[in-house]
Amino acid sequence: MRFYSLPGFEATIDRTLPLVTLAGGVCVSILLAVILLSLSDTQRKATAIADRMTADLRASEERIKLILSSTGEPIYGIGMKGECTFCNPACLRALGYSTPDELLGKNMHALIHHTMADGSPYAVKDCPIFTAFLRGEEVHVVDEFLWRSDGSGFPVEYWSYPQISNGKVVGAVVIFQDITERKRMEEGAANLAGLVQAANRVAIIATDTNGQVTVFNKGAENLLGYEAAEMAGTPVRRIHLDEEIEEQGKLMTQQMQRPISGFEVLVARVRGGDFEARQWTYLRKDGIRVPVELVVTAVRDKRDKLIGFLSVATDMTDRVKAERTLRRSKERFHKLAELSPVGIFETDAEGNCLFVNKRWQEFAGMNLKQALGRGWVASIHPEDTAAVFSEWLEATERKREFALEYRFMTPEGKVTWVMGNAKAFRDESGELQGFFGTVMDIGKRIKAEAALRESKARLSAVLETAVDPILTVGEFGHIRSANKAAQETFGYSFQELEGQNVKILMPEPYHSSHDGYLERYRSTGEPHILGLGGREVRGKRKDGLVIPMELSVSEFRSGEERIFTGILRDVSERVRARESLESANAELAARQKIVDADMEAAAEIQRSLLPKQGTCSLGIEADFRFMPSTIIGGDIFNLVCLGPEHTGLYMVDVSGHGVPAALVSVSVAQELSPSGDVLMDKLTDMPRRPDDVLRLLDSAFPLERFDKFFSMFYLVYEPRSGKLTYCNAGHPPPMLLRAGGAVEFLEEGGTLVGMGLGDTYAQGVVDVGDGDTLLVYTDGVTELENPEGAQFSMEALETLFQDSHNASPEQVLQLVTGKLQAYADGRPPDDDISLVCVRFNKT
Amino acid sequence: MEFVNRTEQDITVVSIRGQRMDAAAAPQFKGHMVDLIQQGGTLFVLNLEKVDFMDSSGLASLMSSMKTLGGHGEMVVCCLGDKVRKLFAITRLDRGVFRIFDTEVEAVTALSSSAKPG
Repeated sequence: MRFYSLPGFEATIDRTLPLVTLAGGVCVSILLAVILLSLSDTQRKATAIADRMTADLRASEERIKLILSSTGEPIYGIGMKGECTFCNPACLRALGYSTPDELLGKNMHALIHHTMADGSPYAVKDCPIFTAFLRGEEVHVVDEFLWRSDGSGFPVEYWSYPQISNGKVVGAVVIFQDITERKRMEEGAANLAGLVQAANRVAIIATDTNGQVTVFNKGAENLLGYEAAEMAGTPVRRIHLDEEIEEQGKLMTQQMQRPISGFEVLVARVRGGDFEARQWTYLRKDGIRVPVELVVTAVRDKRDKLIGFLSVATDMTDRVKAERTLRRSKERFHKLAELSPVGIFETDAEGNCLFVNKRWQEFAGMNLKQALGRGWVASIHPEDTAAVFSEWLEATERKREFALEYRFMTPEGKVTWVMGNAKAFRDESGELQGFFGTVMDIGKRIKAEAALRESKARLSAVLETAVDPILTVGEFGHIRSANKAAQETFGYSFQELEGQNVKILMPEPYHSSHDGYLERYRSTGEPHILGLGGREVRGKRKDGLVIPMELSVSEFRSGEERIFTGILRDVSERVRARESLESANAELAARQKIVDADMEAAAEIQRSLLPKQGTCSLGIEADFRFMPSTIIGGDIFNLVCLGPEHTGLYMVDVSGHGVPAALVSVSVAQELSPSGDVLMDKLTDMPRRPDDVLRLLDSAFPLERFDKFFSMFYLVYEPRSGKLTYCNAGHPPPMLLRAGGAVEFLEEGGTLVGMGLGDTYAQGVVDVGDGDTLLVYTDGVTELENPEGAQFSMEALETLFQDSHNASPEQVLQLVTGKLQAYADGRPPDDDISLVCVRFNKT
Repeated sequence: MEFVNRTEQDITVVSIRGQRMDAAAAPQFKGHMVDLIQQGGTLFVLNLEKVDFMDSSGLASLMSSMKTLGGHGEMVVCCLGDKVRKLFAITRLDRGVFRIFDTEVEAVTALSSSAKPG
């Protein structure tokens, strides 16, 4: 039996799975064999029966009937008028009747052959059976319809033989066969044959028992590059690799305990009846090797005799590549998974574990082997197992991602919080293939969350118990939170405050300008109150009452947003206290003003005690400067007229400064009035000796009296003689600049006045001439400090004075005060400064 | 202003720790000395080594302390800085009012020898 590729059968077929193709191929060949065998068999049988009947009719009708009854083929006989003359049981069965009486004598054409397959009436004159036997001919018809008693029809093949008796036609014998099954098989076979030939993706090759090619379909032509015609009848081995056959042969020899080689290698296993699927390499006509999956099966005839082999080959090139790629990507995935800091797992559709990475194993405390299958379940914390399964079920049912926070627990009891995510993966048809997922350690996050919750709770406890109102406000001024104190202070509930613009808590003008402050801060970053420490504002309660408050604002960022925290304090009390302090201050200031005025008056009085222009210039040209360190000071000096021939000059520096010193100085000045009896001896009406004057003062102003002492210089000048007497009680020594340029110090005297040491005072006497100049000063001059703290010093004053040789007293003092001011460099003097300069003239 | 007292035989040595003896320090100093005198002290050495500046108020507190002593003992000074020595010179307080010594030992020695006959 040989098949060749018939181009006419080509049809488009879809990609057929190799196994289907294999099954198809196998069926096709078996069917073809069976059909052909059975056909020729029936034909032979029918011919034999007809021959025998013709011969035997004359011999014994009984015998014929017996034969007919035992024959499986439906047979009936008709007479010349078409009436049924006999029928066998097979015929009754086939036509749906139970007894021969239902047929005998009936017109068989009218009964079972009345209508054609397409439903049109079948006239008896057209019936081949009649036309043939009337002429004494036999006829064979394929594919007409016969009709059963129940009205159903079926396709038949029939043979009609004329019955001849004594050389005369007496009727006909008709043998028929229900070909419903055969027709279906034929149709199937035709289709399958078409399929075999047309399958251009699958190479179907059939061989005889010796391995000579009998079928070589389109797919084989495509795959191998040979034409069916050039392959037919050639050994199929030519498309196999010799080395592969050899290698496999050795293996099989070993396994099957008998020498196997050549074509046997391909079919040895299927001779027993099985089929074998194995990867082979085909060698194309152009020499290219093609990996194939080859399914080989034995083809047998109806009597189960091996008649050949059929092989179906699928080109594995793409699949091999795909498999290799898949394998590589799997390897890569596993490698990657091992490095991954997150746990990774893979399961099948039922949740059986296929893979877990190292990290997962660390979490779970089990290795891959232990996790496989259902092993992984033991790693879930017992309290979380139910949650994991219910999430799993739900995720699977709803076709969504598995996402759950749960705990692993190792056999040692180590617990790890993880975030588990898993996704189902499905094949092209959408069928669930398995799950693929990750687990991430969220222990830190859980801890941080707990810490955050705790700190939030703590914070809110602090906020709620805080005495000061605290508000948080979004960057557009909307209230986010307000603690209890804030609610109480402003008289609003939190529900009333939440979301409100914070300006509702402000009286005008803040109420209107606050949005502007926020807007400015948002756009320029220039704060109004923010971060500038507390400042006083006014808040407005719900009942309209305005209360003074202190507000400090800080800013923090929550994500992208700025949040401002305002801490307020009701400062009504403080403001009241301050206001009363302010009014007390104002009162004090008013009183101070009065004191100042009094002081000014006192200073005026003190100044009035200083030399006046034109007073007593007997033999003297004088100038002075008085610069008290406060409004009034403890220095005092004067030029006095002591009768017609003498002029006196004193300078007093009371210890300390300010009012107490000034009062003492005024008191001293009073004592030293020319009209008094200290300077002048009233008895002689002559000036007293300077040492006597100081002695008097020492007893009049003992230290105990005012807790004050004073230094004093006093001179009496007699212009007529040029004699100058003086006494210096602890006072910086006046400088006498001789007309010749020499400087003398007038130091004779004693210690400070008030020490009770007046009896130690001595008098000094010098003669002065025209142009001699005397400079008397207080220690405020020599002890004047510059900004560095260095004193002006007596030496500097001496040098300065010496340089002003021949200058008038006014010029001298101008020079000295100028220098002093420059030296102090703007600093006010610590001590009173007094300067008197005198130029002597003889009369 | 701080003071450190040390007693050697009948002599109280008062070291003044402040740098300035001015109007601010004077009442304190005077109070301290009056306390010591009222407790029966008669012989005093004032160590002014640390004193850099003394104005008339400071001087007054020194002198009123001495006046409080009222001749029933003696108050001497030692270790004067330049400015203070100059002040004592100008005011002639170095001439028979206060005995002035260069060192504390000299002052103590002088006081103890003069105290015995008295």
